[in-house]
Amino acid sequence: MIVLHPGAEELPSPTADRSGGRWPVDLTGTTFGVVGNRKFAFDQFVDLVARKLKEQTGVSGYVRVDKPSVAETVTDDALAPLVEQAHFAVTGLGD
Amino acid sequence: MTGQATRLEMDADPQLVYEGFLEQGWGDGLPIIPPTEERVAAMLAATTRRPEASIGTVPPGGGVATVEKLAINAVMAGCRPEYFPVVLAALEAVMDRHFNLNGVQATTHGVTPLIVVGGPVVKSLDFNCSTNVFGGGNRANVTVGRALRLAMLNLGGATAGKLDMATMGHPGKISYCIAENQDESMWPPFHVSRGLPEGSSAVTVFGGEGPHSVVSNFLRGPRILLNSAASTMSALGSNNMYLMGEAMLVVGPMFARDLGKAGWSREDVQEYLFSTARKSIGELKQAAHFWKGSWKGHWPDWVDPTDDSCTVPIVAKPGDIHVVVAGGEGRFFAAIPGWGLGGFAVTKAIEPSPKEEER
Repeated sequence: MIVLHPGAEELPSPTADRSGGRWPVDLTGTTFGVVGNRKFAFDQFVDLVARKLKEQTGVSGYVRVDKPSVAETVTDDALAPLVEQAHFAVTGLGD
Repeated sequence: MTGQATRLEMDADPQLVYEGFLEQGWGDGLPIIPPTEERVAAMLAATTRRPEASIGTVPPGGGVATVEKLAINAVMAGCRPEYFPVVLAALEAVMDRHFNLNGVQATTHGVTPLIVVGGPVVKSLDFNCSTNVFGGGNRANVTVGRALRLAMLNLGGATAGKLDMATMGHPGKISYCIAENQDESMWPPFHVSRGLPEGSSAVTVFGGEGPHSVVSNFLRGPRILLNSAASTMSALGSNNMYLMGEAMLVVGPMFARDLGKAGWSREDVQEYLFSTARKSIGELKQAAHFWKGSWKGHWPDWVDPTDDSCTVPIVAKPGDIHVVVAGGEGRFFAAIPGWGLGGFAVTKAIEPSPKEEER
């Protein structure tokens, strides 16, 4: 039987590992990225995570961009510094 | 008509096609109709649009929704080809920027688009607008709602735990589609009240929680009748109380007749609910979400958070409470809280099919 592909063929499969093998094994010297999503506790949370990462894993850099509002997505242009510099990122915080 | 979707060779057993699709991450967990070339071609014959034409990219994943891709998902959902113009209008509606589909798909809240179908297609395509209107059992309602949802999953990548982070979700995230019971309404059709011409068919999408049942009766007039709905709509745990946004009240035919005969218009109902579906600051202080200015940027300026007697509405203005007549006989409303940050109602006309255009 011939059936037609129902998904987004230009994107990775939903079941695929989308990391592209880029997960760092050793975080020493890496840069931690953050997309601030303007949730109430985000600043406190991410500051704590950044401090712990530096203390416990050797992360040395930190780059942050913020969403325009809690419900609006960040643009590709705004994301550019994070894409260029960060080795891994926290991109949101649920509440 | 041919499009550009990849053709896949699979075993002819429909169960194996279903399981193969699940392995690829396609679908909602329920069995699907295999989207063969013949079935997709029949779906595409119900629109004048070209298969390769793009409707846009579906957030948050960003897959391109071509007409053909949507037709494939409509086949999988079990749609009859005649339903396809309704599915097209629904997808275009949720992809309107005002709806904020990116947020709706990704939020921890349980919001999902409710499709409200109105106009002549309700009868011509046999949508259920009456008894058990939110329940199953009607092919048009269930498969149109499911087709939109499958497109949001397969093209928008809204897989639970990956890009869909809903803490709870709700069953409407499988299918959520009702039709307006215009025969029982004394008010203009919902889509006409939103600017479309009389006689047109349309869908309105609204991002909502599941329907909350409200029991009431008309024995003591419109205000007493609506007080029960107002109370349910202004629950302390509702997102609307803190974020405003929009809300919906689905009015059963008994109450629609009662309100109409009493001379109440849709706007009267909106005004009354706006003035009564409220909580005082003192009451809100007893709720956990009244916290560190969680209302800032959302509540109208006239609300004074330092005054315990000040009452807070569920939305910023009466027109943000949508009032739709649907359902069967009985003493019930359905209240549907919104998310507050998106899912704002969008109405789109349903294009006539090529057969209808010939007439």
